[in-house]
Amino acid sequence: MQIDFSNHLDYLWALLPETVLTAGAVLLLMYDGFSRREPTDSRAVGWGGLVVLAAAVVANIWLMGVEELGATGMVALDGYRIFTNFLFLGAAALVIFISFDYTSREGLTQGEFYALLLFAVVGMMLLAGSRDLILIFLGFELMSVAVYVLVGFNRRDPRSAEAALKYFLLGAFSSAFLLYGMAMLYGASGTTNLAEMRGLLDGASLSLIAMAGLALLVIGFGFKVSAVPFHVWTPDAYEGAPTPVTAFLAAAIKASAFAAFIRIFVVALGDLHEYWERLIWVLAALTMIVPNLIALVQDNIKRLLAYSSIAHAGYLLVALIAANESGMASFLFYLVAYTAMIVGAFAVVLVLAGKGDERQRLSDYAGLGWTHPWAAAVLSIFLVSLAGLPPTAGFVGKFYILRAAVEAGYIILPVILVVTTLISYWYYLRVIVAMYMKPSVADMGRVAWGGALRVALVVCAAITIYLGILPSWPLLKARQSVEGLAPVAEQVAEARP
Amino acid sequence: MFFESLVVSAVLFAVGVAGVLLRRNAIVMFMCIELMLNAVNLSFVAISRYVGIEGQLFVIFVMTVAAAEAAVGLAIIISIFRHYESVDVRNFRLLRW
Repeated sequence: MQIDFSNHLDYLWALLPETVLTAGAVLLLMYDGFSRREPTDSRAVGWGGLVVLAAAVVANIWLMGVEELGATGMVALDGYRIFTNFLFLGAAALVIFISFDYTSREGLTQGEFYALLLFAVVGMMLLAGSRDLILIFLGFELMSVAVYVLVGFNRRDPRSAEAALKYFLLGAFSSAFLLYGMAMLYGASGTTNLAEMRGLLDGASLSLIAMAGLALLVIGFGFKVSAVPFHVWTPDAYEGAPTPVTAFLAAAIKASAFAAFIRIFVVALGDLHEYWERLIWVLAALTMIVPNLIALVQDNIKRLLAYSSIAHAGYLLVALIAANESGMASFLFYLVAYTAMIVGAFAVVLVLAGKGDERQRLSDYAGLGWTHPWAAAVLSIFLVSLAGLPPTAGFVGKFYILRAAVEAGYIILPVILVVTTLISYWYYLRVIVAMYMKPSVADMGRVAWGGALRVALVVCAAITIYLGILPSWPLLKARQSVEGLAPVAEQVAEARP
Repeated sequence: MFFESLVVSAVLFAVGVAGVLLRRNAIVMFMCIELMLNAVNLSFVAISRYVGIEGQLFVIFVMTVAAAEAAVGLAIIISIFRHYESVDVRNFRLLRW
């Protein structure tokens, strides 16, 4: 099928996955409103959410066969969008799988939880798949407003409310910066369409307004992807949020913000690479160094993983700076690997924490390898992968990012990446050492593992190991997905001396 | 007029930023964020006079989003007030800032 954006009805087809998700989420919300609101109803809504996600996956597969006329529509129909859509849908499905246990244990039996998750996914898909500043802003807000509620979902827990307030205030604050940046870019180029903006912004003589816009956008995105020094909200929001939501925050939300970051900076502002490169270079270097040092002294496992996720944002920023085709391909590859390993790690933490999220300290994990060997083994796989040791996905992903950065002619940045990775081994291995080489302090007793959660863990572990051993097919897919953005990358390569 | 309105908008935005950074009452911080959004709206309207209608469209969307955000934000502030009997962010100490 061909999509012609001059015919406005065609937007409905181009947005089919989003439409399916929205309709499904609204239906689930209605069902939840009319049900008797018992725990079984909430579970039914959860399974319904999975069905809706599956329908959206089918719509997304259908989208692969669709062509567009020209490349200036508000909605992009390229491989990049389809790849990221699959990623968000998959991440949301994993999060639903791991949240059944948590919601019944903590008594969060409101079915809105799952509907809100779906609305957030709609926002992410719009964010990564649009070629217009208006839609990108709307996607951001659609996602954020749903997630503010999710972070504060456990209303009986003061930590959750506090995390929601901090996340909300800084999220809205950063949205304002983002919006101001968009206004300045709009003023400098006279259009909100990213494809047209590329031709209208002249790299040789950039106006002051456009430079201000660039700087403001970097600040706004810095908050959204939690780059240092805009990361202060991250550990608090991650620690206080319900654990499945933390996994969602760390994986899908960060991924979608990065996807929009790439869409704006590499696609629309690719010719201005020399202007934004310095700014993001500093951000990337700080984001790799600072959280890896702070994580060394963390004692709370959720906080430790939060700092680890900030550090991973730094590695992804390196791929963004490289701005060549292999940079973007390695970026997509790393997103998949990172989603699998961070969701898996948070899933294990979620179960071991027990009722009321009591056990989150590192000392609670002592001796775990002997009392709960399976949990310790699975957590070790994810930690090893997050650390970036072979033969796991984290190692391959980091390797490709390094290669892309070297190809683009950067030297110091890859060195920082390697050194900080070496530093990070210390705190990941500290957890593993505690699990296997220290005597158990307090016995955890039996831990309840739900069936759905086991499935999610197996899937995450399988992806982590599969990507580590046989990375060529996924990497090929990632490379094909960014081909639509390729002309951009070549021009960037030519512009560099 | 174009330049003046951009300057006014930048000043309003700066006032909003200063408010968020300096004030410690959650509701005042939230109001300052709204001020920042509306400062941007002013820029959009001023620019759209010279380059096209999209800026005004953008403003309509921003106002809608700000309304939705206000609903959720005030709900969050109420839920935290129930725990602490206060909306001063200095009192929230469970999570380190």
